[in-house]
Amino acid sequence: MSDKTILVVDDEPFILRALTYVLNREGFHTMSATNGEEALAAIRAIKPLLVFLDVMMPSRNGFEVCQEVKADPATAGVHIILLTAKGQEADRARGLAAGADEYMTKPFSPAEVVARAREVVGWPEAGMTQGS
Amino acid sequence: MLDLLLVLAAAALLATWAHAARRVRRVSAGLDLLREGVRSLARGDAPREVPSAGGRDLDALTREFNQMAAGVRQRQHDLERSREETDRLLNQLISSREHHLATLEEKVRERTSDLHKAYEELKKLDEMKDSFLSSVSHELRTPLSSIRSFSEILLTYNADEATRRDFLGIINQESERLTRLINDVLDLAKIEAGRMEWHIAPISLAQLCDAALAPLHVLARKKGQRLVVDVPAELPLVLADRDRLIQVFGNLIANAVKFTGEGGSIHVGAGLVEAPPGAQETDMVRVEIRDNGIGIPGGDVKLIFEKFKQVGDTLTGKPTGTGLGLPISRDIIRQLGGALWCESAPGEGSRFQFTLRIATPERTPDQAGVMPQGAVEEQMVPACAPPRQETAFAVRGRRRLVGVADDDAGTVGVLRELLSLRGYEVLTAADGVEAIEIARGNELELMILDLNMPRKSGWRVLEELRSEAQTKDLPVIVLTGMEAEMDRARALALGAVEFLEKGRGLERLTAEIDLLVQGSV
Repeated sequence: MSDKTILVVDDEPFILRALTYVLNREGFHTMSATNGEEALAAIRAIKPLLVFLDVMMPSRNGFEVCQEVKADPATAGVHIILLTAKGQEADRARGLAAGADEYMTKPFSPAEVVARAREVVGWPEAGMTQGS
Repeated sequence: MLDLLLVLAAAALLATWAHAARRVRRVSAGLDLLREGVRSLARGDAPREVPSAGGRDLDALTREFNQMAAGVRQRQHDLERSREETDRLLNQLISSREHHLATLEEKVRERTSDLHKAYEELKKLDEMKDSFLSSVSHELRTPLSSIRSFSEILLTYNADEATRRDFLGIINQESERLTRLINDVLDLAKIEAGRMEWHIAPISLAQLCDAALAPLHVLARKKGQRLVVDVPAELPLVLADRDRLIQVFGNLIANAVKFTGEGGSIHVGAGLVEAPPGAQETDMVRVEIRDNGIGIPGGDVKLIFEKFKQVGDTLTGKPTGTGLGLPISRDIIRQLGGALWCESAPGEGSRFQFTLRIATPERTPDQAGVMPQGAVEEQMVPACAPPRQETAFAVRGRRRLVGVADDDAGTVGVLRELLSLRGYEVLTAADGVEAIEIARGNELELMILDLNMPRKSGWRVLEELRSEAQTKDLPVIVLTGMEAEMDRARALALGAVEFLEKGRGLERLTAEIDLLVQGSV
């Protein structure tokens, strides 16, 4: 059973806050994690449709989390968008090899984030949209 | 009778025939021997002498044959010897060739291993460069991401005033972080590429600490800490670049504040380094910045000087600096001819120390200093030749006369004010010609000289002052509206002791004047 909640994972509090704010304002329900361990636990517990996953994090990085999620049949269907400040081709290849569905490079535009969320999760259910 | 005759004749015939037959047999046997000899020669057997067996008739022939056979034997022998000689030479050649090949192979092996080592080193350097680039990229993009996201959010969504202010605060904070980072990366790149411009001058540490540590006192107070500065004013002047030295103090003290809890204290001290064994007196000053904060685990003491290696803040656990402050500080101190090191233990605070060279008139700027005791794994890197020469300031007249040459009345007024406050008498000149006159006619202690003046430019004045015996030692501070490195170099080459930009603050000018005068007493 998949949840329409979007999981946002980043160890940079400001980036986490910006992503969460934009997605909430667009009516998506979000949950956040600040490291790899937390992210894995959250993914296993709620099986979100979509995860925005930062790569460079302490303890377990985004590549490792992605690999583990995709290797487990119970969570393999979770759509993962890797977020990273490193734009080098080698990293992109490594992300795709780890099974990531998409790759977004920082700095990213909030509009782009919203567009991706709508593609994967669809439009938020009526009544969830928060007022301004 | 006839019968007898016949018998006799027959007997004689028989005897003759028998004799002839014997001769024929003998000749035939001799010929056989000769034939055998010829065949044997033809077969290439070792030639033997053929015995004479054919009687007189064949003897001559046999002799001839034997002579010929002996000749053949000799030639064969010669041939044999020359073949042996050839073989020997050939073998020699082959063995020398083999030896040569073996050496060559050995050389190739050595070269290959050298190349392999060089390749590995290059690869390591390349990896270091990659990891540095990757870190820079990450560190730059992270604040940029926040700035971009929050500015776009503010443009896209209506938010209440408190949220707007909050987001603007984040944008502001992250812009500052980005600025710091860019400055640090540029500084580091410049220092490491040898492109940093160094303005090395004699500096009083006590004065510098007074002026430069004010903002850091505020920083410490914000965390409820005490910043105690105990730098004796009577310490000798050190050779340093003022702005860079302030940067080092800033980095080290900000670090100490960051890793020390509320109510902690940070102590800044300085003293002479003990003279190295055998030397009469020391030529280094040691500065120390000590805190009673959380300290650094043994293994991490080395790490903190690596680029982008950061440990968390005491309060947030998140790194707040750029991770470049310590590598930059170490680079700066090394360039100044000193060393920077750290001693620390968890829970016992940290003690950062660095050394600087003492300014002495005879010291040339590119002389390397002496390693301080206890500076392990530090290496003295000779400074890239600082651009200026120091001058020994001679004691001049008792009246403290300073000449000020500038066509701008405003500047002259301010300088006169500042100098009179310090007890100097001021003589002014409104152009280059007057400047020369006041320098010739008075025992000036110092002249402050503008470059752009009517009648005679500051450059000309400087040249003329230097060419005359009476004024050639007069310390001159060159003032200019616009600081350009070319002009600075030219002015210093012409013997100016300092080159100052007018807009850059009179504080620096007066500090410089104080230093010059101190140096002369």
